[in-house]
Amino acid sequence: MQHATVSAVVPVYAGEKFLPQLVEKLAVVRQQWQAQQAPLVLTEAVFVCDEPIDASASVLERLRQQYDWVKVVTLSKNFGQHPATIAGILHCSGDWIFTLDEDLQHDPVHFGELLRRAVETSSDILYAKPLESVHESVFRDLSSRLYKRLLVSLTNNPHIPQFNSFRLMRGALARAAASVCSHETYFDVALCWFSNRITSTRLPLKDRRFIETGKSGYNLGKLLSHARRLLVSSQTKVLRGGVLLGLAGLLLSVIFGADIVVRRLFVPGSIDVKGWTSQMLGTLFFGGLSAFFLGVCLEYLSNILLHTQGKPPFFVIDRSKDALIRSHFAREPADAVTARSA
Amino acid sequence: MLLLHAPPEATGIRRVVALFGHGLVGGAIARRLSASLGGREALPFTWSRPEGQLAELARIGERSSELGGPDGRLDLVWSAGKCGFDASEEDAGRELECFGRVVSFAQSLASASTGRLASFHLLSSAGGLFEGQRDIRRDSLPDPRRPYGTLKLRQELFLEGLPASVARHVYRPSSIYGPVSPRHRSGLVSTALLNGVRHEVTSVTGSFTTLRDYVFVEDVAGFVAAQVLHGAPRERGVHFLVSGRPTSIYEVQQEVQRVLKRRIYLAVKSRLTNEQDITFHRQVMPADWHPADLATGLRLVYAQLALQP
Repeated sequence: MQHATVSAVVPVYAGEKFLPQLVEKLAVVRQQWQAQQAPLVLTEAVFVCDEPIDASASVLERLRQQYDWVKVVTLSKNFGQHPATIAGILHCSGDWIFTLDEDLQHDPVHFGELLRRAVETSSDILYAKPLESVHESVFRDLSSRLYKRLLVSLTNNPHIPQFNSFRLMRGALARAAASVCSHETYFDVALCWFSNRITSTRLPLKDRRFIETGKSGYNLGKLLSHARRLLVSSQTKVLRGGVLLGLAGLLLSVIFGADIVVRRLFVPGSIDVKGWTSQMLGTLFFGGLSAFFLGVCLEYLSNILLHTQGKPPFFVIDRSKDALIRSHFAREPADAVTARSA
Repeated sequence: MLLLHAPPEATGIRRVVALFGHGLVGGAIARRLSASLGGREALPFTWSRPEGQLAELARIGERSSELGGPDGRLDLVWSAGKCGFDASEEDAGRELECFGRVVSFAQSLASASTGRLASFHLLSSAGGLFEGQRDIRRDSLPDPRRPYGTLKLRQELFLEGLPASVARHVYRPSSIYGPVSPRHRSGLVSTALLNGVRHEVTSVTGSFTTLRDYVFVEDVAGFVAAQVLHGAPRERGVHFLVSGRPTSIYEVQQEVQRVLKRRIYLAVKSRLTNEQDITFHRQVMPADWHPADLATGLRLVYAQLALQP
């Protein structure tokens, strides 16, 4: 029977307590699809050991021996969540790839629901979006929203508010995006280079670690670093704004300069200070010119950066297997999928 | 073909390795074995003249017994092959006949009267045997889709005819890449690298998203040479020499571009049979097999390319 293969990628840093339960949940999804004779096979779950600070590695080794579909990739040092996710994606072969956190914040029970939504909307990338407050902290959730909004306005990337580490992606596209990423590329920005069919669906997501301990994996320093990488990876609006500002300064200097010259020639008494005219003309003109050309240089630099980061001129995608999954879910009412998920 | 041999003072016993085929993989194996054994001698084994092959094999037998002496040990490595992935049934048939003659020759060497043959090592092809399969595991069954794959499967079956006293090792490498040479076939990785240097277009039959598994030739050669030199007697093994890491053609393109620091041009020719993925589960990999990743291997190939005049 023709089927679509599904992979799950989980970066692991401090998941000792959660991993056995997570694998059990993945096993349930696998069995469920098998029992339903769904055209979906969860062929692998790739756990990427990003130099864990607890006993995650030994827990994973035990799980690997228990389940032949559990794969463990060990990174040589702690590279961070995004590089670990990229490494995991580049180690799997599924037609669809889920990425999820280790701490059960993202429940595999929603896999079916997400796949259904993705094929129904012909999406290439689908993010899970929290149904309600993730952190159960007004300040934390509000600052997160404002932060994302600020980044949208700086980068001109409307998809940023959707970004979430619980994602579903077409395998070919995810692998392509992962393969172009350098150490500074923001993975979700790279995904946006390959598709505009990016949607999100609301799910009950909770950051249990933050709610229970008040500690988040993201402190202010990490958030700033994220923002920096996001800005660097994106074709930023700021640069274009700089060019326009420089151009405006240049035009202003020409207009203002013309006014000064006219006044100097025809109303000489209106300018008392000697040398003021030439001083102002020079400052305005060369200031505007410098700002304009600096903006142009930065725009070039930004293009070169995107070129070296691997932004593709085009990418070919095959969505033909969607019909298979769509017809499977058409036989299963939506509430049944959700009920089973719940 | 090459006879690689060592005097008794080097290994304790007189060792002779008969190596058939010294192209990309065979050449690398020959270099490894030469470095350990020391002696190297070329003898003719002509593909184009099957009628002369029996006489050539007899000569190889004679010479190997001269080099090894009455108590010497002979190991035979088959890494030869004219057929590529797109070989016709006729070509595959001819190659199988030739291989059959070599196996018969090996049987005669292993017979009770001489008993000199210690092991037979066959370079097979994981891609040919498991074409179109994904996440190939130890219990996956070979299901060749083309004459090349059938040839490899039948070659493996031929080894069953060898006496039990002969150790036999079958190596199933995935897509091998290595230094580019006009003397042997080059795969996508090396060709893309070379064409990238020359600013030429590389034609790819498949699609950008086709997944394959790539291994560096020196890793394969090192593993095979270690089995030839240190393998236990009467041992039997099927070794999947794969990386266990699915790699798309698009990723190969990106990696080559990173190494060359310039754009390369790939022209994709769509052919359904070549678009099928071939990927392996890491459980099939031998415990003592540690392949280099694609980025490292590519840099090594590029370094060798840069050294060429």
